[in-house]
Amino acid sequence: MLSMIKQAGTPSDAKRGQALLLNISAGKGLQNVLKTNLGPKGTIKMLVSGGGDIKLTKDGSVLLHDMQIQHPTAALIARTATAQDDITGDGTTTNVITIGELLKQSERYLSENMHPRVIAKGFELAKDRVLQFLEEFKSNKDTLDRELLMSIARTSLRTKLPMDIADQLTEHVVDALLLIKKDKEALDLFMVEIMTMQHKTDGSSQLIKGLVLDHGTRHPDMPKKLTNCFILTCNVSLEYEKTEVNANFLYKDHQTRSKMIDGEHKLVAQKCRQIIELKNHVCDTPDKNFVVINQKGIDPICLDMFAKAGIIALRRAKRRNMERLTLACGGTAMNSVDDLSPDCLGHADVVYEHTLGEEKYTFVEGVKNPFSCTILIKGPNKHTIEQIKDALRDGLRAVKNTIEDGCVIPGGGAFQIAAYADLMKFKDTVVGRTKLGVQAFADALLIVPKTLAENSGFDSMDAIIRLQEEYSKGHIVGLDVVTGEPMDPFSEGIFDQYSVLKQIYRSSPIIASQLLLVDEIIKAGKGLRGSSVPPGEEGPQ
Amino acid sequence: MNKKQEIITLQIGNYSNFIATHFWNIQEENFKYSSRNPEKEGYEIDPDILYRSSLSEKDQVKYTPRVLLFDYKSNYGNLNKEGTVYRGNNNNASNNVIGKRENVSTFVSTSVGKPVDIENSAQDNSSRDFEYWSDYTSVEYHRNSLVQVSDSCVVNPSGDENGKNGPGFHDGLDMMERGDAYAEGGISDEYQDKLRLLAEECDNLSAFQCFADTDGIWGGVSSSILSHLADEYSSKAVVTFAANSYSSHIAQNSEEAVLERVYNSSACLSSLAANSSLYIPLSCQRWWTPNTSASQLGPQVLPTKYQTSALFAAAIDTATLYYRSNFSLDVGSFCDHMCPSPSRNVAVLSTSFPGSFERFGFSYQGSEPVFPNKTPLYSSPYMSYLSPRVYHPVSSTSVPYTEIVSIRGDLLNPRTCSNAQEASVINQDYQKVSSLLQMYLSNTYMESNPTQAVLRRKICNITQPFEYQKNLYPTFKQGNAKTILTHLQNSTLISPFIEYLVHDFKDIIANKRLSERITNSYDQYSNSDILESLLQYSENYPMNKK
Repeated sequence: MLSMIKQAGTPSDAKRGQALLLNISAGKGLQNVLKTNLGPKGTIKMLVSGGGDIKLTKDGSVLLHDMQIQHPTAALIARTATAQDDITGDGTTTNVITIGELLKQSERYLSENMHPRVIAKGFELAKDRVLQFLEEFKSNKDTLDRELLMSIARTSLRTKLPMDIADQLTEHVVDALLLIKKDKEALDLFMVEIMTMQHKTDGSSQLIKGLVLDHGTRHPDMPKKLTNCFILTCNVSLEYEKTEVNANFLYKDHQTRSKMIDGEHKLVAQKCRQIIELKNHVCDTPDKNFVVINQKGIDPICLDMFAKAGIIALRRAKRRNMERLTLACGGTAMNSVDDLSPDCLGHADVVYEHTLGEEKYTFVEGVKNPFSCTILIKGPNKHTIEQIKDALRDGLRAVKNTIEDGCVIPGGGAFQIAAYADLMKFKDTVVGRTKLGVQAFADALLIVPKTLAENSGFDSMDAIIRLQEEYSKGHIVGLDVVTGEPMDPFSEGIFDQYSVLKQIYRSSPIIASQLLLVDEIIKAGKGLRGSSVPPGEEGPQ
Repeated sequence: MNKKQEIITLQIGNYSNFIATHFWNIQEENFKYSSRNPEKEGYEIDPDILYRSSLSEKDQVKYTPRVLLFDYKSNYGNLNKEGTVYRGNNNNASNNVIGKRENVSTFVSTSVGKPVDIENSAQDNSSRDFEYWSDYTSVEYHRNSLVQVSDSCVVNPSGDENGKNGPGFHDGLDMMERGDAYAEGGISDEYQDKLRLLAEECDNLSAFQCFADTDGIWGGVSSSILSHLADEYSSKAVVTFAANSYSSHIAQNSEEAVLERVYNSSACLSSLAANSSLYIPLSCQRWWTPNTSASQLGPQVLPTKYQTSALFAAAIDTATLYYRSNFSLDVGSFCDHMCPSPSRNVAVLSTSFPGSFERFGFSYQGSEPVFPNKTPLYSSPYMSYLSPRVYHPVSSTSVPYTEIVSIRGDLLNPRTCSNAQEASVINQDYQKVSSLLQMYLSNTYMESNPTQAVLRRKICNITQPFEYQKNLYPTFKQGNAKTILTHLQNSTLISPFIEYLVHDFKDIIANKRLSERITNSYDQYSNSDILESLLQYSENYPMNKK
């Protein structure tokens, strides 16, 4: 008896409470920050940097990356959530608010002196059950169906962008991925290039079935537009240069020196001539043209030679574009000019240059097999472009996930409502106090539909109850963010991604229970300054 | 064959940016106060080598440095992503208003710098310390020049960036290799793309000059970048100025900080020097002595990042005149000149600045040049060594293998010459100044060590004096000469430094004196590799037997 009283009053117990409270408050704090961004009706955050840069975003992962997080626990949660984004590309916000809610729900039981281990055990059981339920709940579909993919992309994009921009991008995203899709091969998102253009008036984006290179010709006499082009992709240095830094010309007098330099020049010029010969060989009729895209440099003398031969020559192309060029246009990338042949050339219908301020872009369009394409984002200002770019990346990932999963989950909180009901049934089969952990988990699940309702301006309790009532009648229902009424996600075309949900409900209980099991926070390292409590948490703020 | 060469500058790390910001400010001054008529004779210091021209939004030609700079996002201060310094709304009052509302303060970064008023050139900021290098920059950057390293990219458990228990060499390397999955392909992709765009503009790219920090993650970052350069731009020369940052922990004699610095410097020497054509280590603190708080630079330089970096920048500016002024020589030949062999590519830098150049006592009496000072340049008491661990006083027999002596401004002070008019004529004559210096050098060298001769010597002299703006450059307590003489030499003076690194590095590894987090490496640049290349260098630079 006595020992029990003692235990309750020991300083270590007080510390345990303190550490736990600290972790819980961090989780809740982060949840509060991100909560308002969830769903298509969520509000946006504005990030202002020291230099006055502005970023507007609703994307949880962008936010977590860019805002300054001081609190170590919050940083830990943020890191877990961004890891979620790295793996699946979406669901960061949901992850953070789920972790926060799990902590919040357990706080109630903890204050009634329940041991965190029991709650963690309950989480563990509930987690397994939910993941199992997810398998049952998913609906297998033909995920190459364009309509279905459109719905997925729309659901993802609308949570991050204003409706009109989102709808416009939806189509591009789906088309781009269907374009690069090859049978029995994993989708390579690098084959979809995202290019941005700051355009003064235009706010529209377009999908280009080909490539856009972010540089142009460097010679005034080069043609700006060519049709019916052969494309030579190469990685050959066409610059006069010394071979090695520590090798030197040895010369007796000035004439020998200039002779040697001339010799070096001739070597480069010879390479150019070989390319021009090939051009003359393949371009037998005047309607055929020739384009050289080089990964290495081309010096002005060579540019001049190419210009005179009517060739568009681009230097220092992106390494990744070299791969994409040969994929799209055909041909092979050449590392030497010695074995040039017509077989190694690719083809494009039209190559043209577009100048925008000081920036030049070269479009390669009408390619043979567009296994690579470019989404061109045009926006009136920097922050809009940034916002679209981030959202686009998520949209692409969402569609990719779905194609690879081969199934979808009805969205709008439908899964959470169903899983709650399932967990309630499961709870009855669990014996002992662990039950309460399951209950906490189930309650935490509901945060997603609750927040959705809240952000759309409806009463969250009201919405949840209506959804649950509808679900108990045997319908699968999600929340309609426009009316606040239950709706059928299948007919509305609102879907979540299977892999995202799986990842969320796998990782968030783990991190939450780990945080719950922390009994003390100790400063690591040999540092002399600082106390055991992280800065910023001592005393009231 | 006088095609204009172009150089891309890389600035990696916070302290390097401090140095480079001064460097660019000096370039702006060089541009403004050109003593000769640029229309007729051209610039003595060619701005086109370092600068790129572009059209601004208003279709005006705008010059921005051809540079790629790396720093933590939080170190950019008021410099925004567009490359301009945000000067508006800078009074403290408005900052406080934002700070008070708790909700908002989470998102608005309140720790912005206090940029100086660049128009007000009379204001004296020399006793001030700046937290951000962007506070005193007078140049604007192009937006493709900035690479922001997200603070959260690096796992930074407890220590701070200034070299104590912070992230180390391998963390930097990891960050670059792993990439930050958030921005697809990560930071490596971003900088490679920006670098490519810079290179794409150049017609005759000749080299990279690289300011790199050796502390914290930056050694690793630089080494990853330099190996990218070696892959992609294989034939270009790379000159690396590797600087130890000014660290308050070192000044406080923290043993751990010194050990970390030894480790990082060793890793840098072995990995950076291998990928550079010329490697010049710099340090502003004597961290290798028991009393680490002693300044390497003399008492007139206040121990702050702002002041120490200003001195470095002035010295680097003068020392690199070889390839930046109108001699039509490029960086390749600069490196060839300095390195007797590819494995001996470590150079030592010393400068007469901020001391007065007149102390040397060059004058011209009647029609004869006078050199009252008989000590050779490398052991002259008027030169301060900026490279780490050069013994003082320098033995008068340590003749360098190769050297470049650069001087800007007047060689002769008309006041001390009997014929003031002739002195100023001579000052304007490149040939005469050069031959006077040449005479001084060969006489004194011969006298102190007749058996050894300098393999290669080059003298670079221009007449344009060193000018600075008070509000952007510190006025040092003594001196502040308008004439700067620098001496870049490849010599065994560096061997004590290498020996020291070898000894302490072995000690660290054998006795596990640093936490494993810092010394653990997984693949590249393992500890044995580092040690091996250190030993290689110590073989190439044998200690002088005294």
